[in-house]
Amino acid sequence: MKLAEAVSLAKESESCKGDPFRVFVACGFTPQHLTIYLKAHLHARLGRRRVVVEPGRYGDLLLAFADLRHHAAFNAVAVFVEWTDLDPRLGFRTTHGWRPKRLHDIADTAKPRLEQLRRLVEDLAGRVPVYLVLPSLPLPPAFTGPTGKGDCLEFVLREHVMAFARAVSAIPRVSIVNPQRLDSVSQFDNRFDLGAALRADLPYSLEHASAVCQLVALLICPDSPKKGIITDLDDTLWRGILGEEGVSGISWELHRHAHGHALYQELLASLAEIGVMLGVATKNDPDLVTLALSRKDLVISHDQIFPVEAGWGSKSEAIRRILQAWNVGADSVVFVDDSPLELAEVSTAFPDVHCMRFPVDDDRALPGFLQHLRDLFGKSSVTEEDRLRLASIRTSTVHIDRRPGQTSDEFLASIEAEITLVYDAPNERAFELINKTNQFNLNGRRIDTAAWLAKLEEPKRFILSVSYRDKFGPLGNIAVVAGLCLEDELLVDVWVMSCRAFSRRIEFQVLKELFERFDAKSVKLEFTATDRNGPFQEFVEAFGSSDLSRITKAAFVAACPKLYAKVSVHE
Amino acid sequence: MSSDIEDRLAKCFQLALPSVPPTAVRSASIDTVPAWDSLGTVILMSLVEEEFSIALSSEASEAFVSFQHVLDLVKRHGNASTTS
Repeated sequence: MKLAEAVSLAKESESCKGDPFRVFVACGFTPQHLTIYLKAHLHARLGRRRVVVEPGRYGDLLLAFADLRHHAAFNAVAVFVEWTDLDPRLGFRTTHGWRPKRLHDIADTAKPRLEQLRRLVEDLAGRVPVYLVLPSLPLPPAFTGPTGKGDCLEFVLREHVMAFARAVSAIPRVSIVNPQRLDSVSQFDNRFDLGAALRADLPYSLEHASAVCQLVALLICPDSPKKGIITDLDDTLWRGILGEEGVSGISWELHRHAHGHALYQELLASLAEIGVMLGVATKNDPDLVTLALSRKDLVISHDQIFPVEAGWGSKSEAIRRILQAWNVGADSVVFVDDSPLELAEVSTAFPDVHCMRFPVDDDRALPGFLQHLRDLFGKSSVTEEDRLRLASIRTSTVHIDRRPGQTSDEFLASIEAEITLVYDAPNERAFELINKTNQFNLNGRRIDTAAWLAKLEEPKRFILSVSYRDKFGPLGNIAVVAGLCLEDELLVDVWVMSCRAFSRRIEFQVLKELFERFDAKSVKLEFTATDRNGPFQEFVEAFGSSDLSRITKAAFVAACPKLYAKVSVHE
Repeated sequence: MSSDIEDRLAKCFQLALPSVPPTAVRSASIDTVPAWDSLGTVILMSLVEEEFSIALSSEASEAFVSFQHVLDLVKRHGNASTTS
C-alpha cells in the first residue's frame, strides 16, 4: 500500500462513528509510519468501525510500555521489536559500536533486554491481546566473518531472539507475526531505509512498514476460518479418471508422478484432525467411488470424509446437499476442483463458496495452493469440540433420519441426552462460539479478546457454558449464555448455540435453568435481528409474544415443551 | 510539466497537512501553518519521496519550511517529473 493511500484510509477511518477500536503501538523508533499504516490496514479490515492507533513513547521500546498505564483501555497492543532495541550498537544511528573488541558482549546485553521484554509482554497479555513483530531488518555490517560466512555472534543473537519468541508464543493472547510469511511479502533487501533512518529514525522502508502492518492487522482482525472443504476426486484428490482407469489405475504416488495429489490428501487429513469438515462432490459411479476411497494406501482416511456425494447430477446440487448435511452457510465452505467449468457452475449457484482450482500438472503452483488452503482454515487453538465435529455431524443425520412414524418426543426420550451446565468458567471455546455462531445467536455481536476479558470482570455478570452428549456420542461445549443478574430480572446479552445442537430442546433446558437459579420473573434479551439468526428468533417466538426482547416466566412455563435430558449443574 | 509537479506536490501537502485549505497550500510555510511540526515534516518528506520516486538526504529536511522551497528541491531532482 502506498503511503498516500494509507494516509487517506487513516483519515477515512476518523469519520467512522461509534465505539472505536483502539490499538497501542510500542516501538523504539519513530512510530509515525507504522501508526498510519496500521490504522489504514485495520480500517480496511474493520470497515465502518473507527480505528484509533496511539503510539507510546519514542526512543526506548521498554519505556513505551510504561505509557500504557496512562492511556485508556486498548483492544490490542502491537509491539515492533528491532535489533537496536536489544542493543543500540546493532543500529546505524550510533558509532563506535561495531569494533570487535566492543562487540563481544552484545549477546550478553541482548539477552536480559529480551527477558525484560518477555516479562512486560506476559504482564500485559493478562489484560489485552499482544501482537509482536520480531526483528526483521538486516543486521549491520559489524561481524567479522568473510563474505557469505555466518558469524557465531550473529547466531547467538538470533538464538536469543528465537528463545524469546518460543517463550512468548506460549503465553495466552500473544501472537507473533510469522517471519517466514513476512519474508514472502517483504523483500529482505528492500526493508531498510538508511536515509529515513538517519534523518528521522524511520528505519523501515515504506514497503516494509506496509507489509509488516498488514500482517499485524491480519492477526488482530483475522478472517473467520472456513469450516469445510468439498473436493472433487478425479485429477484432484487423485490423478486419473476413476471411471476410465479403474480403482487400481488412479494414483497419488511419487514414482507415478502424482505426488502432488498425495500432498493434497495429506493437507486434507491434517485439516480434518483440527475439525475441518471434508466432503466429496464427484461425477462418478457411487459404488466405484466407495471402492476407491476404501483403498488402504490412500493418504487420507475414508472415515475422515463425510458426506460423499457421487452421481451424475450437477456439482452445485451435490454441494447443496452437503451444505444441508453440515448445516453451514455457503460462505463457510471451500470447493476444490480441477475443472474451470465445474468451478464456474458452482460459483454461479453459490457465489459465497470459495472456489479453488486444483493445479493439476503444475507442481510449481502447488505450494502456493496448499498454503492458501491452509490459511483459509487457520486457527489459534484446536478445541475438543473441533475433534468431535465430524462424529457429531454424522450423529445429526441420525437425528434427521429418525425412524419413520417416530415422533420428535419419542425420539428425544430415547436418546439418553445429558446436558452439563457450568457457571462462570469461561474458556477458549466459549469465546470461539460467540465469534463464529450465526444462526442461533441472540444479536450477532462479535467481541474481541480485550472486551471479553473486561466483560468477565463485571459485577453481577454470569457466564453459563453448556455441554451436551447423548447415546450417539458427545457434542462437547455447544452453547454459551451470558448476562447480568438484576433485581428480579435477568439481562441476557450473549446467547449462542452451535447449529450441531439444534432440535434437541437444549435452549429450553437452558432457559428453565436460568429461571430456576436466579428466581427471575422475566429474562430481558438484548435481541437484534440479523440476516442469519432466524433460528434464535423462532425460539423466542415460541413463547407467543411479539416482543422478542423479553420472555416472562409465565410464558415460558406455558409454552415449554416436554424436556427429556438429564441435567447436571456445576459452579 | 512544472504545473504537474506543483499539483502533485500540493496533493502531498494536503495529505500531510490536512488543516491547510486547498487554496492556501501553495503559499503554506512552517511559519503560517501551526500544524506543520516535526512529525508533519516526517510524513511530508516520505510522501514526497514516494510521489516523485526520489530519495531525500538528511539535509533535504532543511528545505521543508515552505511549499516553494520544497518545490525547488523537487525540481532539482532529475527524475521528479516521473509519474509515480
